[in-house]
Parts: sequence; structure tokens; C-alpha cells
Amino acid sequence: MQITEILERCKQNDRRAQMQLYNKYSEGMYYVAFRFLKNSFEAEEAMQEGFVKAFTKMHQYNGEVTFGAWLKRIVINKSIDMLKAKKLELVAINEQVLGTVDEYNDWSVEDGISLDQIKEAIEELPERYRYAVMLFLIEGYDHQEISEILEITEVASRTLVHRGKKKLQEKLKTKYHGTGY
Amino acid sequence: MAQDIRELFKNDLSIPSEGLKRGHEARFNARLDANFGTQQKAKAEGYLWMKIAAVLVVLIAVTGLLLNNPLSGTTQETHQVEANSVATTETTKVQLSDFSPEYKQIEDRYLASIHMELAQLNVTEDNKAVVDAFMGQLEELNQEYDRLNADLVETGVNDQNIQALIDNLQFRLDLLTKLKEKLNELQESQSSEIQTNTL
Repeated sequence: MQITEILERCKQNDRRAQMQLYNKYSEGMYYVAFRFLKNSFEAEEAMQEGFVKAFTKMHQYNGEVTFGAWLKRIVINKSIDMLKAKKLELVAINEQVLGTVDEYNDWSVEDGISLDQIKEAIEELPERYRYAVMLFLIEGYDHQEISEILEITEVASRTLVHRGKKKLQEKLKTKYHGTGY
Repeated sequence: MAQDIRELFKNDLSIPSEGLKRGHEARFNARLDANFGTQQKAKAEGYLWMKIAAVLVVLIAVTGLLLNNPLSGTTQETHQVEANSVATTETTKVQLSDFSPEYKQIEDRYLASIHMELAQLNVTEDNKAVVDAFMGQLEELNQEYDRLNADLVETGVNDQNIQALIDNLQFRLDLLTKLKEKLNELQESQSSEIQTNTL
């Protein structure tokens, strides 16, 4: 069956169509939630709640983005909500952003550093930087989207991502040299 | 210093170590039940409409029956009784259709066909015996259907129960088709008899 037909039937609250969508997207959405929540029970909760929310708001889906992207955004929002419930501090920082455009676009790390090392370093970032960096880097959102998801200003999003990146690069530098000695 | 982290992530295909826990589909199904209710609740409005439609089908069938049969008063009466007994099925089967709107559709389609066939029956004094025998069988199937319905309510919905109900409906339709063939045969043999007699 075509995805558009499944979606149409989901709007009618057709259970079989809903389960079809679930089977198609549940694994991917679970991984998205897991990256944030780091716990399989919570990730399943966020993923399934995301589906439920998507089904109740089905009429709002206008096909502007793919259904998967739309759903992912809902699952991420759910995940962030759950993190916030655990008292995640995402209060925007007051410090002025200092840095040139070049600095903003500099995402370089030394050769020889693996993706796993980078992920590890992201895990070690303070929470407020970590989630902004993850949304930017792993989930591929821009600052407008991140600001909506984290409910902060776009400037704050830029700041968080930029600072997170700086910290990340520092960490990776010591890591790289650390292994060298 | 040549690697770009953004590029590295773009090509990342790895997945987290912990996969989905077993039975997540069942848990999700339960969650859907909790949020949307079972399907029947969600379609309560549709049901009312379907019930009205079902009642209309019966009414049309009965009127068709009365209008199309230029029969003697007695056969007409038996006919009406039969039509009413089918209509009783219509009211008692509510339990079954409550489980699934799709099922309701199937059932309605069958019942509509059965009523159509019934309405087209051409009963005369000569074939009355055949028709009565058939009506007896139909009545048995009717009772069987009620039993199956009660069974379904008791044991819950499963494939076997539903298949039995569909089989029952299908059997009635087959029976009607056979009866019609039989009646046609009778009529043909009679008319050919008349022809040979007049010749």
C-alpha cells in the first residue's frame, strides 16, 4: 500500500494503518529517542508517545516534509520534554556570543580521530551544550528548529552549539594527544 | 586537522547498542487502546449510521417482497414470516457487528444479497413444498447464527468464530441460489409439459 493511503487511513483512526506506520518507523524513532535519553525504557516511552501524539495530530500533517521527518520532530520534542522533566537546565546563557563566521563554521578535528571518539566526547559535554550539539550535528536541525525544540532563542541556540563545539574540539585535542603519549 | 565533524556524522550509519525491547508492538497496541479507545468506540457514530442502513435494507427487502409477489394470501403470509425472521437476525447480531466495522460491512452485504434473492423468489402452489423445505433450512441457519453470535460474545473475537459466521452467511446465499435454480428447473419442466400437452 502507498504511504499516502496509509496516512489517509490513519486520519480515520484505522488501527491497522496505524500499526503499519508503527512497524515502519518504530525502530528508527526509537534510536532517535535513545540517543537523547540513553535508556531503552525511556526511549520506548518517548517513541511510542510520539506516535500517539502524531496520530492525534494527523490532520496537521500537510506533507511539507516527509512523514518520517515530521514524526522524528515529534519524537525529539517528546524526548526533550522527558529530559526537562528530569530537570534539564536549558536556561539561555547571558554571555554575548563572540566569534567570527569562520569560527562558527570551523568544525574540524584532527585526522585519526574516530566518530566513536567524537560521540564519546559529546556524551561528556555539559547537558545544555550536549543536546544543542546533538540536534545540530546528529539530527541535522538548523538553529531555528533547535530554538523551537529547546524553547530557547535562535541566538541562544547558536551560542550553545558554538560553545559546545569549542568544548568538543578541546576535549578531542587532549584525547588525541593523550593517546599519543 | 582535515576532518570535518559534520561530514563524519553525515556518513554515520551506526545504531545504538540497545535495540527495542521485546513485545514493544503489544505495548504500543495497548497504548493506542488507552488513547483512542478500542476501534468500536472511535467509530460509534459510524455504527449508528450502519444500523440505520441495515434497517433500511430490511425494510426495502420486505416491501420488495410484498410488491413483487402476486401470490395468494397464504404464501404471502409465510413469506412475510420468513422475512421477519431474517429481520430478527438483524437485531440480534448487533453484538457481532459491535466488534468490527469491517465485519459489519461484510455482514450487511451478505444480508442485502440474501434479501434480494428472497425478494426475487417466485413462489407458486406447485413449488411451495420446495420453498418451505428451504425456509426450514434457512431458519436453522438463523438459529445457528444466533448461537455463533452468543459464542463470539462469550469467547471473544477470533478468526475461527468470524470465519464460522461468514460461512453461515455464505451458506445461506448458496442455499438461496440453489433454490432459485431448482425453482427455475421446475418452472421449465412445467412449461414444457404444458407445451407438449397443448401440442
